[in-house]
Amino acid sequence: MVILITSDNVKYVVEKDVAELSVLVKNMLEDIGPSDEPIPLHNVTSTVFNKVLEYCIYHRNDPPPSDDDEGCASPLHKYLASHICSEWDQRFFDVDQALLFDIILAANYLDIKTLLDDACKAVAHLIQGKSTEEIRGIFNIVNDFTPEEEARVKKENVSS
Amino acid sequence: MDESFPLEDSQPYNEAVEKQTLPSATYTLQQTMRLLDLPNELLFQILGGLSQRDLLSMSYLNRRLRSLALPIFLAAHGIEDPERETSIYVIEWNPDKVSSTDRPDALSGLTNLSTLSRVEHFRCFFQDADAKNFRNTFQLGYDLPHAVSRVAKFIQPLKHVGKAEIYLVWDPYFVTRERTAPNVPVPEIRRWTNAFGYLLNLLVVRGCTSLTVQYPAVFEPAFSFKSTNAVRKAFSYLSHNVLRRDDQTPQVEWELLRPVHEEKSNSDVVDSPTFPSTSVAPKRIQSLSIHSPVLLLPPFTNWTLSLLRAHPHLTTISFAHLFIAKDAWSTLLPLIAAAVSDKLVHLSFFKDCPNLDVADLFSFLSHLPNLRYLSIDRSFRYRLDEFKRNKPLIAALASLNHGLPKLLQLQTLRAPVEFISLLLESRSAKDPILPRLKHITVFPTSRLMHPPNYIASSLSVNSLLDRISAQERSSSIVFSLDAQMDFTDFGAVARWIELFYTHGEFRRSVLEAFAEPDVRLLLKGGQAPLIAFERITHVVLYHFKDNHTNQTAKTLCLWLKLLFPNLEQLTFTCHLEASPQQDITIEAATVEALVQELGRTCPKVRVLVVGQERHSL
Repeated sequence: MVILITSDNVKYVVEKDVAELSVLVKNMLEDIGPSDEPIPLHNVTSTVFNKVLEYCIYHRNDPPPSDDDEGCASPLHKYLASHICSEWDQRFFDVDQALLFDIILAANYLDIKTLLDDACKAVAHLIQGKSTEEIRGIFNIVNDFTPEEEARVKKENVSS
Repeated sequence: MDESFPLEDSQPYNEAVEKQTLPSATYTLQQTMRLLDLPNELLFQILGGLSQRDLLSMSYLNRRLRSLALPIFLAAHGIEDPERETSIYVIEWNPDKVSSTDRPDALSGLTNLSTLSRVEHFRCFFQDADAKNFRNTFQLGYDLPHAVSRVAKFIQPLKHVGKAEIYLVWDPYFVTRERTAPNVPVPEIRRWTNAFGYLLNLLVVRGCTSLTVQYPAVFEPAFSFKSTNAVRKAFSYLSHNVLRRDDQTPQVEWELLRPVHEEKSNSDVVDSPTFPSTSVAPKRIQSLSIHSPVLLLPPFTNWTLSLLRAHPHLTTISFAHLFIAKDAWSTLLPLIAAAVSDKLVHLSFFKDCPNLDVADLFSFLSHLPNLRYLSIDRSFRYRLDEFKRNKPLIAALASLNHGLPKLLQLQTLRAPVEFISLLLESRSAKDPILPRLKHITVFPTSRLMHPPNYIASSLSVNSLLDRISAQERSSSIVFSLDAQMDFTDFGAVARWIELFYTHGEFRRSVLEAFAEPDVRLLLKGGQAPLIAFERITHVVLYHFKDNHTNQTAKTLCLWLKLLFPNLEQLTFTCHLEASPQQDITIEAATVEALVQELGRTCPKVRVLVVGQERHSL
């Protein structure tokens, strides 16, 4: 069992194999050696960590991601990997944007590659096939282009 | 997957985790956390999972997303550093499909790159490198002006373009299948002329230093030159200075050919695109590659001639892919000569100028007194050979006041053996031809496929080079052999030559196949025949691929050692002239093996050049 403390001082007792899905925690455990010392997670709040843990527990038995999946995987593998995610994952990421971005930040901080990849894919899914204006609405992004730049883009997009 | 977890359970992790303190509050929405609050590295990761179309949409959102999304978008199109080099493929011509396609082209992203103000090397292809790509065959000639205008829209806001290469279409079949040009409606010819003329002018005005237009189309031209041009041609041949002395800029005249059933009308006139006024346009062009009939035939003829006349530093011209008629050549070459005459120093005729007559070529060269570099493609060999046998024609040409070209300033000559021997024959022995010559490159006189061809080739190359060496000269000449197109299976050849040296029987049968004088030449210096290009110190090849059986570094070096005993430099160009789609690379391991094997087998070789890299041995 590993003891983890989130930034808002919530203490979690987690099974070692689940905790070690985070490369950050794994490295810390290796550094401190066998001890009951709690590990502080400075950049993660408990609300976000609840979600992270849920993911880690569900995926605890998945095969570890290979480092060179970019190079070896066939295009079909990549296609399947990017398009088919389980029903569970879909439901897991069906959260509001702010939490989704918090999960991305936490996954990056805790160094959980699969969670980071999947969360980024979930964001990409929100963008997929949308027009620029639709995306602007979804993410509430303010246009800061000069009128000239805007004109260039329009000219290319709505070509006559 | 662990099936035992009930998905609906609100506390699915109770087995794995034991929480000591429950969080005081359930999740509260943090309004501050938005997409743009993520650091760039994470935005990068999200963008990396997007399709090309989605990436492009993201780049239109705001400046920060543009600066992140566009480099990913452009890198997928092979554009890493657009300021240094931008190569684009405009494969979809139909304007409606351009805005709706899932696979937007690089141009769609580049037009949004408003930080870009200059492009040093711009290459634009209007067809996929893969000629079998089905998208290529869906394009219609009607839509080409639109595609050209899109490119112009990208160039327009730039301040400077350095080298520009425009490859309109590669596959002749692709154009001819559409229709022949005489059937194109006049308004369409005008639309095309305006669009392409605008792009060309834009490149000139943006200070372009080197312009290439390539378009190997074989189609019936929509125009014919008027007969007044023929008079002017005869005139210019008699005294080529006339055109320059009276200081008028001659305009080529032409008329539009229409199908027989169509009435000619006044609306058939298609104007030449106007050349940019010389006061606004910087005169920076140094090099013009006329690799397309588009630049030479109407309505662009006069545009091109104006460019040649107006740009004082335009010293380099090359011709390729010009399937134009013999008369068109004989009309145009005198005009080109008059436009560039003294300033031209670097001239190349590359492949595919099939109807250019040798007499026209020689007249053209006679009007270019300051040429320092001349390259004539191997495909002129048969024409030259035919010409050589036509003694009355040579005599007639020599009797004109300019005679055969003197090329007094020429330093580098790359030409078929037949071309050089024609020049040699036209001079007396003590009057050395080409007095400034420093470098000669010849092509093998036959394809080096069948071993006896090697003997024939080495005999004719050697005898030519011996004659040149016998002349008195102030400086020595470096002799190169360009076997880029002739070199095939050297493994078999190397074995064959070895057999020739070791088996007396074999040697006798080969020698019997040659005429008496050739055998004497082969046996000069003793009993052992010599099948070698003795004077060649530099061999130029295109490519080397180790196939691990008979084509290996070892067999290549054996081949070199036997055929080129005095070799000092070996070059692999990895590039064929006027064929950008043929650019290749040689693997580093292969180069390494070559360097080692050359050191062992050919110790005289000091330099190995592979593409742009130079290895000293």
